[in-house]
Amino acid sequence: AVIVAEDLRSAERALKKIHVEYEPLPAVFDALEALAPGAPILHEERGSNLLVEDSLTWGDIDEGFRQAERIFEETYSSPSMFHHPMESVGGCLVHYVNGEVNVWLPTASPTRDAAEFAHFLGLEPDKVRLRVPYVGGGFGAKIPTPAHFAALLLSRRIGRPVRLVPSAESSFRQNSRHAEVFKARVGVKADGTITALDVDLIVDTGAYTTGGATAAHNSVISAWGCYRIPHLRIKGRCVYTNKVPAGHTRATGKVQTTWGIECTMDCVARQMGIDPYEFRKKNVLLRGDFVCQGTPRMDTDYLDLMAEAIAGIGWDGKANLRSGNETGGSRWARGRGMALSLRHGSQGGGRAYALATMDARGIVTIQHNAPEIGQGTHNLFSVVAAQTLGIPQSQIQVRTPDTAVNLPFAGVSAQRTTMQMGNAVQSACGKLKEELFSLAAQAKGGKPEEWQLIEGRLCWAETSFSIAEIIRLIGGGVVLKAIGYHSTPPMVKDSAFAGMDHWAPSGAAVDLEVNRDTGELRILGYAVIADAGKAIHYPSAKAQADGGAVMGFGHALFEETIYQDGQFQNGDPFQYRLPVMKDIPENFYSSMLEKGDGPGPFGSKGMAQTSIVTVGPAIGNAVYDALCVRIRSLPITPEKILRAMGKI
Amino acid sequence: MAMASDLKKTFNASLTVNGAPWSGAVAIEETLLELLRNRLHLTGTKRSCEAEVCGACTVLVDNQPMSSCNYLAFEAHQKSVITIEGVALGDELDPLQEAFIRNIGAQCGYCTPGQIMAAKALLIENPHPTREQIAEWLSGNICRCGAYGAIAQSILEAAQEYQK
Repeated sequence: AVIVAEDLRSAERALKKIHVEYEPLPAVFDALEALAPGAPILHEERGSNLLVEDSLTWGDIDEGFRQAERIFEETYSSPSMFHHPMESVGGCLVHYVNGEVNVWLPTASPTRDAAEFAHFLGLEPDKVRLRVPYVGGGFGAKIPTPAHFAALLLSRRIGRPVRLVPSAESSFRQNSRHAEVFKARVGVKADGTITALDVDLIVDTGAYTTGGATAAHNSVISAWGCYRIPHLRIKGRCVYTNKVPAGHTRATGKVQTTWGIECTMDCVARQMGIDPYEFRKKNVLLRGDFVCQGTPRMDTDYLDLMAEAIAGIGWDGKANLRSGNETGGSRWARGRGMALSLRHGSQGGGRAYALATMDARGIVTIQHNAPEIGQGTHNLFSVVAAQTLGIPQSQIQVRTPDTAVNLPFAGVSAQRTTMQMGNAVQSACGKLKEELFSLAAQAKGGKPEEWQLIEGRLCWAETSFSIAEIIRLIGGGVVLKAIGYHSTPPMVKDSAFAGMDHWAPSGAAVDLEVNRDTGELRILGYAVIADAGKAIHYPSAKAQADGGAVMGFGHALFEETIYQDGQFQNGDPFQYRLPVMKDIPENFYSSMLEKGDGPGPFGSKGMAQTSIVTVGPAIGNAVYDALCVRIRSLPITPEKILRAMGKI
Repeated sequence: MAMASDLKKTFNASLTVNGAPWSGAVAIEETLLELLRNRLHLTGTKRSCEAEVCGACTVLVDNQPMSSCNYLAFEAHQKSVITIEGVALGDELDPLQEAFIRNIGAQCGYCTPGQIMAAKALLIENPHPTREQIAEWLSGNICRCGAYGAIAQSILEAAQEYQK
C-alpha cells in the first residue's frame, strides 16, 4: 500500500487507517547461524543464505605456516551500525509528465541513479533528468530506496509531482554498515617476521544485497592490513540475515577489517614480547615495495605516518610490556595505542567527465555530476579550475549536478572524487586555456605557448589583454567550451585490485585512561595522519581527516544497531548514540603528509576514507596497554571492559 | 475522533520573526518548524530527528535556544523568533558565520544553522565560554560530518570578535 496526500499530516493520518496483518516467519539475525544447516532461507530461490564468496591469495599458505615458529589465532567482530546523515535517507521530489521524468534527489551517484530509474520505468535514459541539490550528508547511505520507485510510479499514475519526506525512524531502516566477523591465523618467525596470514571473513549483508558484493570484496582485499606477508589467503563469505539491508558506508568493508588486523598485529607483537611499534616497523610495507600483482608499488611512508602520529599525542611509541592486570595505586589506568590503515586509492568507475565554459566576462562555469555531499568537492573543483587557468577563484562558478548535461561519473564514493573528477576538471580547464592562447596568438601575435594567464589577464611579451577582449573575437555565442576527462587505469587480468592508481594510508595514535572500577574511558589525546599527496584545499582536506575520525569514535565507543527477538531496538535518534562534541578530546591532532607524489591534480591522492578506520583498533590497543585486557568486539563499552577484567 | 477535530482548531498568533511582525491563524498541532519552513519559506531551519535530540532545527525564541520541531507555533505568540536567516545584518555576516566559513565549521551544512543558533544563544548567556563550556552547551547539536573541532574554534573566535 502506498499513500499520497496533499500534505504530510494528512498522509500520516491516512497511514494510521491502514491495518497490516503480519504472519511471523522464521528469521535469522546472525550471519554464522544463517549459514548453518537448517537455517531459515531468506530468498528461497537461492537455496541458501550465501550471497557471494570472494578471496585473495598469494604465495603458498601451507609453506608460510611451515616457516612460522609461532602461530596465533585471533577473532574480532564489528556490529552493524547506521550512517545517520543529518538529512534523513529517502527524500526526493519526482515529476513524471509527458513520458519524461524530472527527479530532484540527494544522492552520491546521479549518473547511475538516472539510468536505474529509466530502466525501471522502461524509458530511454535521456528521458530521466536528475538534479542533485546540496546533500545533507550521506556516508554511503544516499542511494535510491524502494520508496523512490514507489514515488515514480505514483507520479506517473496521478500526473503530479510527488515528494517524499522521510522521518528519522524510516531513515534508520533503509541502510546500515555490514556487521563482520574477522578470524585470523598468523604465522611469525621468532625474530618477529610475519610468514603467513590466513583470514576468514563473514560479512552480514542484511536482508538484501545493496552493497554486499562490494563490502565483501573490499573486506577481502583489505584484511591483510599494510604488512609484508609472503604467504596469504583471505576468504570472505557474504551472508543474508533478517536485518536492515547493509550498503556502502564510508570506507566500505574496511572499518571492520582494520579493526581486526590492527588489533591482531598488536596482540601478536605483545605475545612475542616485541613492542608493537617495533613489530610494525619491522613488517610494514615501505615505499617501493612490491604489493600484489596488478597494483602500484607501495607509494607512501608508514614510518613517517607512525612517527608523526605518536608525536601528535606526545608519545615515544613504547608500549607497557608487562603482563597481568596490575591494580596499581590509581583507579585510572593510562594506556596508549596506535593503528595503521591502507586502502586502494581511486577505485574503478570508468571515465569521469567535466565541462568548462568560459564566457565573455571571463567567468568560468564548471559542470559535472559529482554531488557536494559535505566533502567540499565543489570548492575543490573551483580551486583546481582557478589554479589551472590562472584566474581568481571568484571567477569560477561550480554548478550542482544535472544529468541533462550528459557528463558521466561513477559518483562521489570509493574516495575517487579528488582523483577522478579533479583530474577531469583540470583537463577541461587545461584545454580551455590552450584554446584561449591560440585565439589570443591568432588575434594579437606570438605563439600560443608564449601566452600566459596571470591574475585573470592574458599576457604576452610586454602586452596584456582582458579575457573578454579575446573571447569576443570569436563572435556567435561568445563562449569557449571544453570537455575534460579522466580514465581509470586499465584492469589487470586476474588482479583483485581493479583500476586503482595509488595507495591511501593513514596512521593514528591515542592516549587514554580507563577507570578500573567502572570501565569508563577518557580519551586524553588523539592524532591521525593521512597521506594527501597534496592537499588541494588544506582546511577542507583536514576537515575530512577530522570528520572521519569523529565518526570512527562513534564506531569505536558506542554505535551499533541492536536487534532483539526480531525487533530493531534502537532504530531512532533517541536510542542510537552518536558522537557529540564532548566525546572528542580537545587534544586532537590531525595532519597530512604532502609529498606531491599522487596521481591527482597537483600531486594529490584520495584521503577522505582513511581516518575513520584506525580509531577502533587504536583505542582497543590502548585499552590493552592500560589494563592488559583485549576487547574483541566493537563498540568498546565499559561493560565489555569490566567483563574482560573479570569484574562482572 | 473528537481529538482529530480539536487538532484542526486554529489560534490567532502574533509574533515577530527576524524582527518582522507576523500574525495569522495557526493550527493547534502546527509546529514552529512547519510555520517557518512551509509558510514563511525560511528553509534555513532544518528538520531532522523530530525528537529534540539533534539540534538541527534550533531557533531562538526570546533569545532562548528552542527545538522548533517540538515547539508549537502558537506557543510563540507574542514572542520574538530569530532564525539563521535573521543572523546576518543585510550582507554583513555575523562573526559566528564568518568564523564557521573560515574554519570549515560546516561540511554538509545540514546541522549548521542549528549549531550557529545554539552558539548565538550561548554567547548571549555567556560571552566568554571555555571550550569545555561550549562542548557542554552544544551537546544537543549533532554534527555527523564531525566538524566539532572547527565548530568549537569558530565559537571561540566569534566570542573574541563580539568583544571588539
